[in-house]
Amino acid sequence: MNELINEIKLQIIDALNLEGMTPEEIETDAPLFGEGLGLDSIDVLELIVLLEKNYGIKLTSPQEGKKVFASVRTLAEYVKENRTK
Amino acid sequence: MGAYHHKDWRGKTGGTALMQRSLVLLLRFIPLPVMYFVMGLVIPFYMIFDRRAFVSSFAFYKKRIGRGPVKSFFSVYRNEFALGQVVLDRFAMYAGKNFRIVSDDMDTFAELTAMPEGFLQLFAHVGNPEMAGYALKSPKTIYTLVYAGETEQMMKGRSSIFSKRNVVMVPVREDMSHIFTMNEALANGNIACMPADRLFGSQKSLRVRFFGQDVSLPAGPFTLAAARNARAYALFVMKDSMRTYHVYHKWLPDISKSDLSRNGKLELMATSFAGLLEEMVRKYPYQWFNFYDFWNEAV
Repeated sequence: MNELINEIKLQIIDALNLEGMTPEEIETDAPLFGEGLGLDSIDVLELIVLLEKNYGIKLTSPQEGKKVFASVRTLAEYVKENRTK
Repeated sequence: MGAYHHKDWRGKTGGTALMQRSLVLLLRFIPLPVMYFVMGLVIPFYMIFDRRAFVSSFAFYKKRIGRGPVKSFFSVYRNEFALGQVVLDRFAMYAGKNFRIVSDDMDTFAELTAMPEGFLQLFAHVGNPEMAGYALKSPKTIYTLVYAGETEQMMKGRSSIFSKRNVVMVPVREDMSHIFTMNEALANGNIACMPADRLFGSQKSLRVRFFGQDVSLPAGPFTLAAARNARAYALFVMKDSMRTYHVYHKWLPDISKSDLSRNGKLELMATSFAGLLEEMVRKYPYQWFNFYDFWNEAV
């Protein structure tokens, strides 16, 4: 699981262009939106596309998205359970 | 989550729901030229009392178009008159009136919609882009982002016509459901239609040169195109005469096969859009409808 968490953190840094940031600086349980990493709606889009391209997961429900994108840990758990590649 | 639209623009059509309903009723019986005439009499009051709109419009003609103070003053009148016309035209459509839509490249649009891939249709607050929704018949569904604060009358009027035209309105909401919808629209080979001149939803922006000075365009539309490797074109629907609108389709550079970095792709598309928009505004200077401090000059 830790390996997947680190992999996702690296992908987030790359997809969202968080230049100069390291995986260690992203807290695994901190909220991705608002006070945590401070992501917004455009970043949601990048994360949706990231899930689709890298893990074959199509996320279509905003309600589900809210739960999945709560933190890096919830995102990793969702990927672990639903990935097709 | 922050402001959901720019602090200086309201993003909705003026008037209460009752006023808008009354206008649709009036337009069923009163000829459009009469309505234009009455509207023309009211505009001086708007110029006096809506100071922000006057100041931004005056600055636009003086600084950007390069006109003298007197000519700029009368240009503001023509600008507000043109806005009144396109708003009245929209309600006239809801009231069942028809307009002539011309385009030099309607065949191109037909070819595009026959392709399996989805693409983006980007518009700006110039002319009357809503008219395209009534004119462009597409086998693909067009998902159009709309401001969620519009009145019921506006949404009802649009829905009644758009539903016959394969157009789905997608309100921008704080739960970000519009992001999911637009992404899916492209993934399923449909058309994602959205404004690319004003910041709403995300406040992330791209700086581009526009009329000789840097402005911020919303990053969202260009990010969506880059993330999905989708093609995008600028759509302008400009009023040519009382009953005629002219539709322009202008392609943005194809970034799908480009070696540019992600930021490079965004910059290329945004710069291209700004260039096309400037070209269109110079051609139709009275149909520029961003009545706020677009250049952030605190005029």
